[in-house]
Amino acid sequence: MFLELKNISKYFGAVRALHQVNFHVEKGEVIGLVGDNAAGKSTLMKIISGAYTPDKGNILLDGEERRWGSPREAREEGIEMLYQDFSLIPDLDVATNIFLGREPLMNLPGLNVINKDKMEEDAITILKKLGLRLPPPDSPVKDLSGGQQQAVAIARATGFDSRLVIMDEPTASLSAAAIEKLRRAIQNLKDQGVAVIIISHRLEDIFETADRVVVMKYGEIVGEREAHKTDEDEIVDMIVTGRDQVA
Amino acid sequence: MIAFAVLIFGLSFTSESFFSISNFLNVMRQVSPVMIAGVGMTLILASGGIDLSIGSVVALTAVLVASSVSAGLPIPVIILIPILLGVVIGAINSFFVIRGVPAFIVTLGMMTTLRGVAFVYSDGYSYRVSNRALLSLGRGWPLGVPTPVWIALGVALVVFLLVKYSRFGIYVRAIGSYEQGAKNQGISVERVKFYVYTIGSLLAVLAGIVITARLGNGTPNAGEGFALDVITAVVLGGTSLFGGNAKIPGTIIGALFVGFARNGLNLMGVSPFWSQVVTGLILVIAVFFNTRVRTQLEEIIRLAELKEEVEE
Repeated sequence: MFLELKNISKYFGAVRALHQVNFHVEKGEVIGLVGDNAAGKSTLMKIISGAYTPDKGNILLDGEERRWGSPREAREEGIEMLYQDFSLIPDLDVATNIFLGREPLMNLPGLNVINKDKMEEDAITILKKLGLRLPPPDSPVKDLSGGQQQAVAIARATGFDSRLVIMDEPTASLSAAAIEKLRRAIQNLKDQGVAVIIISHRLEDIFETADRVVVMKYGEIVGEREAHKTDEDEIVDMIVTGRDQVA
Repeated sequence: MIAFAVLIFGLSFTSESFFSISNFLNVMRQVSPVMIAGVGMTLILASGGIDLSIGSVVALTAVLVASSVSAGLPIPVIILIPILLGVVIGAINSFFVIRGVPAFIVTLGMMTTLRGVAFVYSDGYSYRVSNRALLSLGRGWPLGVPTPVWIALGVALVVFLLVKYSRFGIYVRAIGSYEQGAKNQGISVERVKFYVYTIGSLLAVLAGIVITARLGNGTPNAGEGFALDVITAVVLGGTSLFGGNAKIPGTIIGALFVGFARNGLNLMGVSPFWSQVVTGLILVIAVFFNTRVRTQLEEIIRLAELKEEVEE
């Protein structure tokens, strides 16, 4: 077991966002995380990605108890997040966006000078390796089309020996062609042993890619199924009622 | 840039003395405080913020430095006071900005507060400066160029390299371009903003020292209208008021533009009251182009994007 969360609780003032959540991820596993709005999906993912710290409970990575205080620390463990809005910086160029927060530096003692040439070369290598269409590495992201921006976001989240990639509503604003591209990227990650968690309202996307479906409601996990042993009706029922009829 | 060329060209007809090298260096000397503080303001605007308090920082620096020099305090203390002042003001500004108070309001409040502190401290009087070392910072001409110009160009060069080649420079622009995105990608927004506002205040302090040295006295009235001049110069230089880019060379040229416009009007015999009118109008026109060109560009990009999506 690669990542395990035990009895995680999180409160925002008087609001209980998560209550005693137990959650685990295997290597190379694709998990579909579903639930209504305010079910706690995003809060749970933000705890995994380091944006929030839990009020109670433990996080175990490779069996060792861990705690990270920022997305940067989680990323150093290979946990990446692909945001719904891509979270790219419009005024910065493609290469800078891919490397933001881990820019390669020149080998100058005492001076942290960014190695732009290396950054652009490596950006091209990453995009090629992922089989993504190449936007020019020195053009600002705001000049790119939606599909090209998606390629940059995928390269950023998956190009650096990641072990777990969390995707928040990845298909929400995408065209059919872009969704197909994303499916290929997910399969690609899975083949390399990278775990993927997908949050989505579109159950068809979940069933198409996920090995396991986890359902949340009111800050708790109400049930989970292996994707090939269930169907959309059963999952919808769990999302709506918040109860696992079998268990 | 085009506007600048037209201005120089136009003004060169109006007065014979306008085009001389000594006049050029003189204008440079006059606007170097605008350049120095403008370099800091460029970073602040690039991060999506603004600092209206810099004129009052100049005033407080003027009375503190002039009084501590005339009181004969030991040199390390005299050097330490303005540095501490810049750090404290930068920390206060960024403290509130980081906690979500609009930078405009925070620094507007600080503008009034610090001006008040300068008056309380000096009781409204000004301090004469007779110390030669200090005066030379404003009046010296090493290698045929005024000291303030050397300082301004040095500051501009250092920050230009910082913007272009350092992580800090990238993070400043990232925060100004899309703050939530920068946060999501793990950039420590709080720390970067603290540095940005502190550098801005420190450079305003430096500008205040240069002004004090040039005038030979430190008055609580120093730096009136200074923030307006500086913001005009930065926006004229092409740095967006909405953050995301930082044009340091542009700021230098923008400051020259402001300086030459005022100097040209002065040589033409126009009253200094009118030059205030002109500076204000330049700012409005600059912001107008800054905003309009931006929205037009965004429209073009949006259309191109739609077209591509349809073709895909």
